[in-house]
Amino acid sequence: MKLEVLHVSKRFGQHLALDQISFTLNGNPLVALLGPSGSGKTTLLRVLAGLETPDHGEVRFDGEDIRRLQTRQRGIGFVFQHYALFRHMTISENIAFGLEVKPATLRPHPTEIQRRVHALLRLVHLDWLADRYPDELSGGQRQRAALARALAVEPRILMLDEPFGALDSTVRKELRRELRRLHDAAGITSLFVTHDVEEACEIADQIILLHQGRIVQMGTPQELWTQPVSPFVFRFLGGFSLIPAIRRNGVWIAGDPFPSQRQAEGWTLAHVRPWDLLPAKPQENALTACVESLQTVGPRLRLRLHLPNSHIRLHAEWPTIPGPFAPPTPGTTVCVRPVRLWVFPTTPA
Amino acid sequence: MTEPPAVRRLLIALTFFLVSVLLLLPLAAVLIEAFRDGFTPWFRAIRDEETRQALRLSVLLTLCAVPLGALFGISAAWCLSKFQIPGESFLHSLLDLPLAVSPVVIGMALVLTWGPHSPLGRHGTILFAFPGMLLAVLFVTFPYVARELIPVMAIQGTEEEEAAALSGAGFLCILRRITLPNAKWALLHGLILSTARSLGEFGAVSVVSGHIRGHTITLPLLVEMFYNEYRLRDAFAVASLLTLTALLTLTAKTTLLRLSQRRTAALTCRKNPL
Repeated sequence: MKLEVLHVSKRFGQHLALDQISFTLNGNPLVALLGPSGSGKTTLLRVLAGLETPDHGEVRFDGEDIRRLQTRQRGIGFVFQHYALFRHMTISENIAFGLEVKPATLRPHPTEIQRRVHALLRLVHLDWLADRYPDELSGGQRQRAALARALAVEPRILMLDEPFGALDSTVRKELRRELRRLHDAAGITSLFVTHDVEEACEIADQIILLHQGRIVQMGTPQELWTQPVSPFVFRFLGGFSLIPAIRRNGVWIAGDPFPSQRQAEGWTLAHVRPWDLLPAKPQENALTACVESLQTVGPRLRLRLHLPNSHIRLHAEWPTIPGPFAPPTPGTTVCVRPVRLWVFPTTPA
Repeated sequence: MTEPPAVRRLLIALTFFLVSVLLLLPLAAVLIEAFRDGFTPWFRAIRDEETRQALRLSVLLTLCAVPLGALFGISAAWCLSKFQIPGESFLHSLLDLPLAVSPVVIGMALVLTWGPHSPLGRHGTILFAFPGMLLAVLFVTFPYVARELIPVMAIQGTEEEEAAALSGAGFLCILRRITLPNAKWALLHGLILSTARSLGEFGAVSVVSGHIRGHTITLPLLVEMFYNEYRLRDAFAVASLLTLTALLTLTAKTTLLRLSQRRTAALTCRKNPL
């Protein structure tokens, strides 16, 4: 399916929730709408579903303006953040609802409805809970039921609002793989809202990163990591430190200049990822830093460092190498070398 | 529970005493007075032609007013709880108006609005006839259904309705299959309250009825009429009829409450088998 979003804006009172959003999706990708809270991602999803009317702009499904389509013809399967299962209906009644409310000419025969409901229940592994009510189910089970209900109408596009937000971390991980599997099985376009970078990167083909109602960057997870267009994108994706750097012979070099030198010689602040700040031997490009504290988290060693006689604090994350590797102790100094520095044209200090 | 047991017992006794003297005693007195001479005179009073006319009119008024009131109440509750509309708080306080204004005043207001000299009442018989009495009953029973529904519907939010709409359901289908089933206990509760009120309404109906014997007399009006004519036994017999319907309504309400709680309890049990 082709989804076109053209200059969509939406204002709530004084707050501009969406500001000239435009993008196009082709094929059947799994897309993450990613952004910090208040960035407009849920509003965008609701506009795409037709639950909110944009002040300006248009949303087109396969070239047709969705305002011209009846809700039924839009072919949207929507999963709400808190599932919104019909609480007075059993799970199978919930799933059958979309089929039962079809006009008489399009409605499948009751036995066919039952067959499809059971197929969907099996697909989401809930066939043993068919006759339970939503408030008898766990969060993860409700999420699966909501997914099955959304898929029952055979949508062209599946939309999920923070689908894993209310679940504990084990269930989250399990369900996001499930979503990937269901998406691939259904062969439709899927859009999900999330504020979790890891979640978006793990399952999405495309990420649309939103900030203050605008699209900051759109691309594959790899593109976002390797070609961030702004400091915001870089900072939103993961941890970082700021380090003074200067360009010499076409290469950025990190250092710790005297304050008086900074302005004069064109020093700037570069971003560096914790895992790009590696232990090194004392040499020209290495920095000497004091260890403030350190923690072992699984296979990683997290260090908080600061440069001697300066306010510059650094975060480093090293793999714990098997063998005779003695981790540094707090209070000692280590040599670190930034293997990759990110300098943006206008880096706010 | 920090009070000493003596104080606690005293308070409980006081409550029982007040409830008995202020509420139960007068009601019991009505029933006792009505049946003082046994069932036969009571039956005679009930089977009297005037009583039967009043009963028919009261029931007819209720049968018309309660469904209409429910319709208005549901639409008002829908608008106020599911949408952000301008003037919402004003509409909310407007809903309380019929409860706040004395029924007599409501009756007078209806006389002015629908009377023979007003532009609205000029074209037909509204006042001192069934339509006027229906308007009066509608006015006083209007808030009950809406006020029961609004908090329940507001808490439930609009997500289920949105989900139903995206599943392809139309407006009426959503109302019938999602919104009302979710609020059914509140709706029934509101219906019971408005039934009780429309059977028992005196003030407003009294003003607009014109007290036309054999035509515009409802049960409460009949009680007053018999009383003023010193037919005390008949007055008490009809009063006891009203009292019994009130008790019936209360029983229905309590049963409903039990039933709704039992469903919740059953769900809790199934969730936690222990």
